[in-house]
Amino acid sequence: MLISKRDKILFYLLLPPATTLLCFLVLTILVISSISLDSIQIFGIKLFISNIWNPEHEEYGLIAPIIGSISTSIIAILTAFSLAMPLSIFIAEYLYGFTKKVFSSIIEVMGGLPTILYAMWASTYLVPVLKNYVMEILYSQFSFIPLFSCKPITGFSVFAAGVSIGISIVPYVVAMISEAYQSIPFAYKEACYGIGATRYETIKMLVSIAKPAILASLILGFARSLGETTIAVATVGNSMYLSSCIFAPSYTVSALIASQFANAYLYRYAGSVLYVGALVILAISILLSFLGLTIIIKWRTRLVV
Amino acid sequence: MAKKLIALTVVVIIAVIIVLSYYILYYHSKSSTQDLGSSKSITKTLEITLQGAGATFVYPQIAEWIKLFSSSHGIQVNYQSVGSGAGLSMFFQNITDFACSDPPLSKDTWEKHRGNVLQVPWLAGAVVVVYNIPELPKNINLKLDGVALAKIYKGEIVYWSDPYIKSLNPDLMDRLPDKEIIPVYRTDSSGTTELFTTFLYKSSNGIWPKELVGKTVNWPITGRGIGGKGNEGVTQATIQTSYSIGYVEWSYAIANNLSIAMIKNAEGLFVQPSERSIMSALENVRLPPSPLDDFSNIIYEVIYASGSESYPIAAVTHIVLWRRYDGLKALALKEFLTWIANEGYEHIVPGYIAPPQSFRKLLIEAANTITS
Amino acid sequence: MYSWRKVKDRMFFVLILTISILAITPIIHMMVAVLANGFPMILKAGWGFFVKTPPTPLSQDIGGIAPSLIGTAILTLVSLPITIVLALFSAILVNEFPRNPLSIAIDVVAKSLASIPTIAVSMVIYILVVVPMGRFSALAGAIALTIVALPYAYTYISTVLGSIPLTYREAAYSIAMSRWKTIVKVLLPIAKRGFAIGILMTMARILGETAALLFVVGRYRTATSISIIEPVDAIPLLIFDYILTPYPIMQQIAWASAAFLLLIYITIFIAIKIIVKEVRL
Repeated sequence: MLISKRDKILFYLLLPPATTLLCFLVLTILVISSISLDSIQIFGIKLFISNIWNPEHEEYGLIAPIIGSISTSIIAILTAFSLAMPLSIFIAEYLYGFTKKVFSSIIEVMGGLPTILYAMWASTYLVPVLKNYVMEILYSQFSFIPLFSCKPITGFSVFAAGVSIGISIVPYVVAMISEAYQSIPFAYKEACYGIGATRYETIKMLVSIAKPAILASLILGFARSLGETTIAVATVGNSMYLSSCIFAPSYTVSALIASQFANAYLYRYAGSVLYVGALVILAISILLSFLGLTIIIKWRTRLVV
Repeated sequence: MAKKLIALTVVVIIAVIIVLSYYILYYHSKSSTQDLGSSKSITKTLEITLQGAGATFVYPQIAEWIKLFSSSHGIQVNYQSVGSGAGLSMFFQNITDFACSDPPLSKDTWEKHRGNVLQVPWLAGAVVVVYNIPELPKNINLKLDGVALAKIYKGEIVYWSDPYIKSLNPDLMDRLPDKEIIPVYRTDSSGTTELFTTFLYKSSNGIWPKELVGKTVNWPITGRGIGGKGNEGVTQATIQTSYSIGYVEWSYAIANNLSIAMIKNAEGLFVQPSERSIMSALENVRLPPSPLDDFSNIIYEVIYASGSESYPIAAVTHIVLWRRYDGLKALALKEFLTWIANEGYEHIVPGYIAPPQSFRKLLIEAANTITS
Repeated sequence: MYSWRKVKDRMFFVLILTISILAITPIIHMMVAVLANGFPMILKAGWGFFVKTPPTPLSQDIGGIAPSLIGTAILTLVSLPITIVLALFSAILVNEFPRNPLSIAIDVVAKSLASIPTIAVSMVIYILVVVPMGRFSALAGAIALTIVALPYAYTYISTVLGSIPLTYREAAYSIAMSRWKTIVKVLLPIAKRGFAIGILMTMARILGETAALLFVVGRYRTATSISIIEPVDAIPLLIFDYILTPYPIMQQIAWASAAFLLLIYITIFIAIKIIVKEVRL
C-alpha cells in the first residue's frame, strides 16, 4: 500500500536495478530451457534412460551423469551431516568465549574458500587416503554388498567425489544448523535444565525440536552439492560408466559439461544435450532450494512461543 | 576507534600496492615487447594478439615457438590447449584466429568451407604407447602390435601375463606380472584419439571396428579404465597408476620419462619412435598441392605406412586458418607462419620432428595465400 | 555413585569431541597442505611471481602469474560494483515494499538460484556473449561472475536490512521522515558494517569462482592484458588448468597460486573480523 507520491517515485526508481537482477536470473533459465528443447524433441526419452556419449555418431544418453550427480550428492550430504551435526552441537554447547570464537572463525573461513583449493587438496591427498584405508578395506571385507563390489583402481570414483564434496560443504551445513539451533528460544533449554536433565538429554531435546530445520539444511546442502563442478572434475574419474558400485569411476553432469562443452559445436546435438543435463540439475536444485527454504520459514513461525 | 583506523590503513596500503603493481606490470609488458629490436619488420609496431586453440598434442612445441616469436616480434600469440575438437569448434564459431588439430578437417567439413579455409600439416610427431609396469626393467621395451592393443582396449585381453602378449615378448615371458591391465584413454574430443584409433582400425585385421574411430569414441573398456583430460591427463594417469597403459604424444612421454612400447609396423618389424622412423613414414605421403585442398586422406596414409623402418603411428598435426582476415591480423599471421617456416623449425622440442621440405613449402604457400 | 545417565552424558561428550576434531582436521590439513606446498614455490619465484608470465611445459624458470593477477583484478573490479549495486537496490525494494508481486518474485528467484550450478552460467554466457562478440573477453567473464554472485549478495544484504529492528523505522516514521530519507539517513548507516562484510564476502566469492569462467574468458596468459574486450585469465582458472598437467614446473606454479589465493582469503576474513568486532545493535 503506497502512501505518498514520494513513495511511488522511490518505488519506480528502485525498479530498474531490481528488474535487471530478475531479468539476469530468469534469462539464464530461459536460455538453458530453450536450447535443451532442441535435442529433447529429437531424442526424447532416450536421453534420460540410456548411457552413451558418442557425438561422432550423434548418440547420447545422460543417465550415467545424472545418477552420478545424485549419488555423489547423497554421499556428500551423508558425509557432511555426520561431520557437521556434531560440530555444530560442539560449538553451540560445549565451547565458550575465545575458543568458541576461534572455532567459528575457522569454520567461516573454510566456508568461503574457493572450491578449487578443495579440489586440489582432495585429488592430491584425500583420494589416495580414501583408496588405501577405506575403499580397499570395504572392498575386501564387504564385497557381497553391491555398493562395494568393485575393485578401486585409482580411487577416483563416486565415493571419492562424494566425500570430497561433503567435506567442502561442511561449513555451509554447520552455519545453517548452528543458526537454526541458536534460534530455538532459550526457554526450552531452561525448561530442560530446570527439571534436571543432563546436557546430553537437553541436546537430544533441542535437536528434536530443530529437526525440520536440520532436514532443510540437508536439502539445501544437497542442492548445493549438485552444482559442484571443480571438485567433481578432479575426483569423480570422468568416465561414462554406470554401476551400482560406488568405487567405480563415473561422471557428474557438471564434470561432463566441463569436459565436453568446449568441443560441442563440432557436433550437431552435443551442445544441446549438455544443456539438457544442466537443465535437469538446475531444475532439481531450484526445487530443492525452494523446498528447503519453505521448511525453514514454516519452522520458524511455529517456533515463536 | 583505533581498530577501525588500523583496518582502514591496511585496506589503503593494499589498494596502493595493487595500483602500483598494475602500473609496473603495464610498463613491463609494454617494454618487453619494445626493446628486443632485432626484428626490422613493420610488426615491431603491431600491437596485436593472435588467438589460437586446439590440440594438446602440439602444446609443448607451440608454447616454445610463441615464447621465441613474441620476444622478437611485437605480436602476442595466445594458445589454449583444449583439445582438437574444442579448438576447431572455437575456430568455426569465429572466436579464435587459428586452430591446431591433429587430424585434418573431415571431407564434409572441408566441403562446407571450401575455398575459405586453409590447412597446413606443419609439424610431425608420433603417438606412442606408454606403460607403467614396475616389474619390467627400464632398458627393455615391451613389444606390442595392433591386434594386442585392439584387444586390450576392447577388454578382450585383461592381464599383462596374457599368452598373446607373452608371444610377442619371448624375452620377457617370465617377468610379465599376472596383474590386470588398466587402459587409459582420452575423455575429451581428441585428435590424438583419432590417430590412435585409426591405427587400431588399420592394423588389427578387423578386430577394431570402423565405428570406434574418431575424436570421441565409445570405449568398450569404460569402467575398467581411466579417462584422462588431454595428453596431460593421460600422462598423469599413467605415471600414477601401476600396470596402466595409455597413448600419448611422443614429447609428453619423453618429458616425463615414461616407458615407450615398440610397435609392429606394416612390414612386421617392431619399431621404436625416432626421427628416422617417423621420417620414413612421412616419406611416402602424397601431399595435396595447395593449403586450400582437401587433406582428409593424409592421416590414413601416414598411419601404418609402408617402409621397413616406418613407425606405424607417426602423425602430422595441422594448423587450420581462414583465407581472409582483417588487415592487421592477416599481416600478423603471415609474419607468424613465415617465422615458423624459417626460424621456428630450428627450435624443435624433443618429441617433435620438423617436417620434410615439401611440408615447409606448404606452410610458406599458406602464408602467401592469406589476404585481408 | 554412578548413574547411567551421567555415563551417557560423558560418552556423548567424548563422541562429539572426537567427531568434531575429525570434522575439522581435513579442512585444517588442506590449508596447511596448500600453504606448505605453495609458499616455498612463491619464495622460489620471488618478486617475479607478480610480474612474470606463467611457465610453459619446458621452462626452467618458474615464472609468475602476472596475467592471471591482472585478470582476476579486472574481473573483480568490473563485476563487484555491478553486483553490489543491483543487489542493494533490489534488497531495498523487497524490504520496503514487501507485498508487491515483483518483490515476491525477486525474493523467490534470488533465493532459489543461490544453488545454481555455476557451469551452467558459463555455458549461457558463452552462447549469449562470447559467440556474438566473436571473442573471449573480460566483459563476458565479468557478466558471468555477476550472475553467479547476485543471489549470494542479495541474500546477504537482504538479511542485513531485515535484521534491523523495527523500532528504528517506527521512530523515523513517527517524526515524519519520508521513506527515502529513512532509508538513506537511518537504515543504511546502521547497516553499514553489515554491508561492508557483505561486500567483502561477495568479493571473496567472485575471486575464487572457477567454473563460471571456464568457457568465457579465453585463458590469455602469455602476456598481460588490461582491455575489457580482450581475452583474459584468472587465478582459479590457471590453477585448474595447470594442476592437471604432468609437468612439475606447471604444478609448482599452480600450488604457488593456490597458496597466494588462500592468503588473500585469510586477509579478507581478518578484515571482516576487525569490522565485525565493532557491531553493536
